Amino acid sequence: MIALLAVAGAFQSYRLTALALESEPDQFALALSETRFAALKGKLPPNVRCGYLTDLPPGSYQESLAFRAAQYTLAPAFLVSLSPNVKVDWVVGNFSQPQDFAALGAAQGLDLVQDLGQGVVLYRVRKAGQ
Amino acid sequence: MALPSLLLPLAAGWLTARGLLNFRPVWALHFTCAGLAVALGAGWASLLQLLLLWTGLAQPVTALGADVLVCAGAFLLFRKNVALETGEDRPACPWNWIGWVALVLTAGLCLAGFAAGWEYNPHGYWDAFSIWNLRAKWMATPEAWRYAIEATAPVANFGVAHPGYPLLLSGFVGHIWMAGGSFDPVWPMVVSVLFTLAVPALLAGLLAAGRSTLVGLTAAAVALSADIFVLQGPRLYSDIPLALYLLGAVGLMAVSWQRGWHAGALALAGACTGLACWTKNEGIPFAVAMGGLLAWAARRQALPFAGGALPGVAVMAAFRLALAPPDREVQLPSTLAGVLEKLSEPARWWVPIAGYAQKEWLIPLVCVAVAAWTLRVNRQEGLARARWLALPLVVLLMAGYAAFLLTTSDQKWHVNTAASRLIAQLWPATLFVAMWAMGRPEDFAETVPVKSGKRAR
Repeated sequence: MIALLAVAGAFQSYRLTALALESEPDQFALALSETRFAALKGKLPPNVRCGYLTDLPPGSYQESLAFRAAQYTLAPAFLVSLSPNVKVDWVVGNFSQPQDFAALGAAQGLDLVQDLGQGVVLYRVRKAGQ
Repeated sequence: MALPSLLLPLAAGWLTARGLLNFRPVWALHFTCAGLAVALGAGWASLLQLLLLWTGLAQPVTALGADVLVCAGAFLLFRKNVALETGEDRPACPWNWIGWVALVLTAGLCLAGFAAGWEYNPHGYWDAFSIWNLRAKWMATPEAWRYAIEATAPVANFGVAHPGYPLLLSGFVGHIWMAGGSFDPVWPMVVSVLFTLAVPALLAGLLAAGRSTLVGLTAAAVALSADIFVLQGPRLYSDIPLALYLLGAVGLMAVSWQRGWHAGALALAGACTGLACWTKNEGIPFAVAMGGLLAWAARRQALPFAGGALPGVAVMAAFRLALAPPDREVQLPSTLAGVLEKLSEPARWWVPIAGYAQKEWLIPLVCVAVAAWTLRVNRQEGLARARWLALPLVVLLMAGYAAFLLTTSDQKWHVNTAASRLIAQLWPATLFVAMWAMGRPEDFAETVPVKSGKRAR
């Protein structure tokens, strides 16, 4: 009887696992992230520490997930939020909708290097005096 | 070279376990060694990976060389291995086949869950890609490994890769990725499959050695019947590895105790305890309780335990003291007034209990209740010792309860995200202790004689 119950329990576990996965494939959009950031990977110096800029609401689930997916996809590069005491040369833009990326970057002291499509943008930090 | 960097550590783990253990029946010895191959191999490879990175020697070739050296050392230990226990195997129970069928079916269903995970979510769940495998990518990159312990957190959401967390799982996956030269997602999945299947192998082997074949096989099947445990596998988190180490530590301590403090089993229990500390912070209160219990129960005979625990504990201590950023992982109040404020809210005391009591427990608990009803508690030799075996597990459960009670995060969120994982960590070792305390089905059944086992070497 115990063996029978165990097999029934294992079947239930499998059903739950499969149902959860099938109902929401690529639940965390990591496959999408791989596609979006594929072109950027070849343009960033290897293992670089770079800034991160987004238009998603700060502290939201969407912002948190988008950051994590970008960080996982671009690692071993290391993403840090832009702030005055963070020194980086490159900045990755990860945007949810089309907008004037050059103007958005300029407001942060960034020069647009390339718009890679799907909301992915590469910036370079403007040096002092430029 | 990814495959050799996976297989060589496993071989080293198997050789070490086989060199130190000698119990019967032989199939149980092989199952135990298979479980410990994963536990020890992954643990040591992870420790090596950190040491190679820290000393600036990490390259695919040097890592492979280190794996070969460890394997050679384990082979020397294996060559000197102790003879198998003398005597004949216990008479076989005519119902053993039921246990084998149940184990094969439950293991097959568990693997089917992994296949679904690979198809729909190959990178695992939230903590896998934001903590464990992210840090594995850094641990696989000699020029970037310090990002894994970097405490940059300019914004609340950022820097939450938990740079102070121990690195066993990330180190082992990083070891394989570095050797393979790519971040192929198949390897974290393979590692998770190995850890998950090592749990029933170790549970079946240790219980068969200490109690009986049918008890071992049934317990392994019941372990795989628990949603709360099995669902963690395809998530690729560190909770199942920790469950394996807790089971190894408690189970090997029990087998050692039963055999008058068998030194080899005790050393392996120590190794599992040390590696538990290197897997998750939960391993630390568990290790303290294990050490205290053995110091009291085994006194000087506990020395092999300390020797086995040394590598994991030493590297963990060095990591904490010299590498990891100041500990921000523990979300507890910083003042006594803060503690008292949390304690003074009666509602807070119930939230963790509600978190522990989940519906996913139903089938496994019914299994254990049926076993207890049919087999009865083994009062002669099982119960008294089982009480002590449970002590480190109760300490960990209480430590978890205290963390949930005093957490400075939103308590419901904290309990909802962490309580089921704490239960998953404790489940195999708790099942081991429960089955250790019960009678054997063989005592109620007619047994059939078996051929004598192999002669002792």
